[in-house]
Amino acid sequence: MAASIKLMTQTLLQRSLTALSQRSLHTQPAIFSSFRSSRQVQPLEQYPEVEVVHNPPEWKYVERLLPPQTVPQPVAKADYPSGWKPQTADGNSDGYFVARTKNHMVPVYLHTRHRGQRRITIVRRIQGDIWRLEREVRDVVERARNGKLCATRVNELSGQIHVHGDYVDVLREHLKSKGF
Amino acid sequence: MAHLRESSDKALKLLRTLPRVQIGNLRPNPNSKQNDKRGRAQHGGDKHGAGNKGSGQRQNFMRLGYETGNQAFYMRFPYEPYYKGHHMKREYPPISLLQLQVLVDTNRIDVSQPVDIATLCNSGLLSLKPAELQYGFQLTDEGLDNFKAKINIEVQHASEAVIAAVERNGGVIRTAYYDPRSLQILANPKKWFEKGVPIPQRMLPPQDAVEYYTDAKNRGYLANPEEISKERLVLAQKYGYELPRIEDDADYEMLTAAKDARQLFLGLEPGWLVNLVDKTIVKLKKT
Repeated sequence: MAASIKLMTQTLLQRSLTALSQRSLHTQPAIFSSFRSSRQVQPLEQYPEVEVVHNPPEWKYVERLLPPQTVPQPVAKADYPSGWKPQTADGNSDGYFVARTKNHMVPVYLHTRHRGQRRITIVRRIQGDIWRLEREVRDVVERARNGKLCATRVNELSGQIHVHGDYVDVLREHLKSKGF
Repeated sequence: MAHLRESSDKALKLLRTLPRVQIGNLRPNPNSKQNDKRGRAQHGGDKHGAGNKGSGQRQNFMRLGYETGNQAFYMRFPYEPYYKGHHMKREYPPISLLQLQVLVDTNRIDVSQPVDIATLCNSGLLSLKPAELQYGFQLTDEGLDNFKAKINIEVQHASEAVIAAVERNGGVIRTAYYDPRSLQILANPKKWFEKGVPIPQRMLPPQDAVEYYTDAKNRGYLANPEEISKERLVLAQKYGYELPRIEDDADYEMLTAAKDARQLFLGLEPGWLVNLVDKTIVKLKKT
């Protein structure tokens, strides 16, 4: 009895495997389709006559509609009207390095808490001598606020500098001018 | 004093045998716990804070703002119905010209091809939610002076200054309507192709949008092309720039490429079925 069941399952498996290999046109396997959402098959006369075009000349229009698999690398240009700049510094002269994000942007962010009453500017992705950058950041921010003191907090482990207040544009421009 | 020393010694002796004070042998502060049962009659039954007689006693909590027969305060004055029909209004999420220029500068969109909703959504930085009544993008005028891209763009709403900024650089802008189902497809074309369903036809705009999309001043996709070219000249004179001649441009074909009013994807006709795995297109047989 057990042997016959084993034989049956084997033949079933073989049949399904051959069916899989024989399927010339790609179709979705039946197990993944939903019988609720799919329309029932109508009499064949109701369908219009179609032709399957291989290597169609319109395929370039289809390729345009497919999203890129990765973030594209920026192309070098003479000027960038939007104010965005590619990264040029490697950090050897400064002793620290601020890496760009995966979208090729400068990692300076604004965090707001307490219903927008507390604004903290955060510089992320800092490598190397973070304390040297912190001194520079404090200098830049204090100049932007007319010599008033600036409160900063350094997280050495995660490579972040937190600056009290909204100085996103100031710091982003400063880092861009240094080539980061 | 002997008896005092004796009693303190006794107390210390007792303390040594007692367990340490810890969370397991503490009880809550007196009266800090509220009994979840209210006693009836002689077992502590009284008014229980609900008062004597009437609406209060029956705990008849009235609806917010109701003033027991007075004209309620919130109904006392006439008002402007700002939010009337808000659940039916079409929403056009904004993209600024600055954002568009950043997309161009960082190579996120290809301006050598016509740009539409699918291009913007495929950049991975913008998204559209047609289920939340978002009917496409509007191009706003932030970063207008720094916009330098020559682009053939199709958006759903654009102001006059934005149209001028695009046309000054030798570009082309068009405003076009898409119905929600078409938008759902355009927001993620790959997902639609994977479904294996023919490309549907695009619907015509609803009655209240017809006026906008047939107006040449808005560069509507249903406007007369001759009127549009006239309006391009008028706008150039109004804003004081020389209109670049598209006819002499090297990218003439790209700049003049436009979808049909019933077409969803450029170059692909409604009714076709795209097979991404076999790289085939199933077309209707021409008779």
